[in-house]
Amino acid sequence: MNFFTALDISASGLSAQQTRLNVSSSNLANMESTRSPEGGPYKRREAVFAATPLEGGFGAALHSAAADVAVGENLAGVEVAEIKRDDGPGRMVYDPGHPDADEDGYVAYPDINPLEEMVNIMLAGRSYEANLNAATTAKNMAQKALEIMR
Amino acid sequence: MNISNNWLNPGGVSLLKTALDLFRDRQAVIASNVANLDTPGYKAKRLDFQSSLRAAVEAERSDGPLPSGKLEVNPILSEVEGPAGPDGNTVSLEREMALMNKNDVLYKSSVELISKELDLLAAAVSGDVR
Repeated sequence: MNFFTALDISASGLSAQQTRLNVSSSNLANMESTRSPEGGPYKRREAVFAATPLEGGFGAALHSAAADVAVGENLAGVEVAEIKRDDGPGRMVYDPGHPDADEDGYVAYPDINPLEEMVNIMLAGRSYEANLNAATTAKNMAQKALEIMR
Repeated sequence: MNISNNWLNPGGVSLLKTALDLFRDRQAVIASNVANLDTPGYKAKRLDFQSSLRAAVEAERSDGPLPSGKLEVNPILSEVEGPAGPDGNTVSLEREMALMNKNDVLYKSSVELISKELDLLAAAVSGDVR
């Protein structure tokens, strides 16, 4: 294990939070979209996170240098496992003049709660900051170690 | 047996070096907890090595007049028992940040101590006392 392990883990967190932010932004932007490529109104999406053990590239041979204990095998980065689509019926609004209104005059809008999306966006921002903080700390520690040679 | 290590090691550069490795590993463990702050079901992890490190130092001291200079430390990686949120996640961001800052300070002080040890050694070698 070296400092890049910590940096890689934090980077996976940054990237996952970024995706979550994008998904929520997309939900907000499409609050009123009555058409979508899959047909019908836009469907709300949600990023599902999963812990991913470090392996392959940098995780395969991770062993603590201090002892022959495979701490690395138990560490996990994070990834967006799935972007889940909510296929619920949508929100029916009476608006007979709308081009997408059905024969009863109802339009199907996406079932999106802006409050929920805003909270999600703020939480993603906070978590992003926390990961950035962890990455900065790891970087500072590595830089400090270089001072031994001064 | 590593003679040069002992010769160079009146005050514990090898102990400090081992500690640096462990602090660095702990940073990775904390980074992993922070990255999984929002992962459902993730359990926060802790890397504990204080007692193991102390035992290793004592074992080395009792090794006789010429200790090996190599410390056998077995850090313990454990899962935090604690209240989980509704999604089963036990990471507390506040706790992780506090631990990370503490770990950071310990790492940096160890680096300072190593530098000082090496300065002393340099002074002894050159006979130049500043």
